[in-house]
Amino acid sequence: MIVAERKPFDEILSMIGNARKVLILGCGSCVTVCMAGGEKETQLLASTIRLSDKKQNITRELRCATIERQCDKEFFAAVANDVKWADIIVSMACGVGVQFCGEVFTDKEVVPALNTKFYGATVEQGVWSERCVGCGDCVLFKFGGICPIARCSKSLLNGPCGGSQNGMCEVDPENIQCGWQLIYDRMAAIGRLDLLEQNQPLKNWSTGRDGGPRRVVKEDATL
Amino acid sequence: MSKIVAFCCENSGHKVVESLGLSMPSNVDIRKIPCTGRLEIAQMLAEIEQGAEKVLVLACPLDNCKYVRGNQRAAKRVAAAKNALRDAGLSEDMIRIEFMSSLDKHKLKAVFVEMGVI
Ligand code: SF4
Ligand code: SF4
Repeated sequence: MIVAERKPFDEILSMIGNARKVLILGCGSCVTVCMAGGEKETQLLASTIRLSDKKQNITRELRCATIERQCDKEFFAAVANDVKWADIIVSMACGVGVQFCGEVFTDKEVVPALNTKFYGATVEQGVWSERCVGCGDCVLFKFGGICPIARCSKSLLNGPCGGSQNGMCEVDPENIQCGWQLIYDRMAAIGRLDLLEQNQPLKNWSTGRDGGPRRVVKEDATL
Repeated sequence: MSKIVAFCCENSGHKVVESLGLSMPSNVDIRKIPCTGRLEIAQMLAEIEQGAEKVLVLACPLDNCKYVRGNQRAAKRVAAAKNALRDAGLSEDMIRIEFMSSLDKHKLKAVFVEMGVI
């Protein structure tokens, strides 16, 4: 899923500025699961804004709504009236949802309440960790299913570097596991250390971000 | 006297409240809940929005929760609610959590005195 976390409150408030009718729009998919921008989080943000406004004698109306996804157009119809009413939309979706919301409601200002972080997994309750950077040409089969691009701090395809100590990465030895230690351990466990004997050639990054904004067309699904 | 809302775990805090009987201060609104782990951050803030001057959460003693970690979760959510109060420019003391067993009458009374309820 896409993992995000909420921006600091003051930043959100400054983006809202003088808008007096504010729609806080949650997303019911990834950011609900990572507890950053679902229904509960819209309520918490709304409550905090109302308390702050009351303290500062600001009169402002807030509405909260959460749609199934903000990355598919059809779900926005449910909030069309709220959007019409609002001066500004505070989207609690990932960066994709924020932009798409603006593409659907072209005459509205849409601002992001979250910082979108990465594609990751829930490693324990309340803890999410990065697993993939969407390089566009998956090479997991060469590395025992552990991504050297996402999980090595330097995205080395022929690792490890000299900074690997006790299974941890020199970039942050307290918190970041060395991706290459993980790859080695996994390859040993599945009996495929032979694969690591091969030197990996340069990767073609044009399938990734370096090739510019990407798109996928699935012909049999188009209308 | 300030008006407070007390979220009380039915296994501990609410039993203390019941045992206080008539000596329970009238300006405390009781919300009985099955476990403080059920309490949401926005629920605490909503009470403040609706006029409570303070919110008190009465949970079971740490390491003695019927649902194992409900009270620990509540403590973390109380901390998050305090953060939201600070964000809003309010005092974080408006929300408070206390851990007590069903027998801790004296403790609850002392908390009420400290909070200016009695
Ligand atoms: S190789 Fe590319 S697609 Fe595969 S997990 Fe890594 S970043 Fe993602
Ligand atoms: S220590 Fe490991 S994870 Fe860190 S940069 Fe070197 S090889 Fe990559």
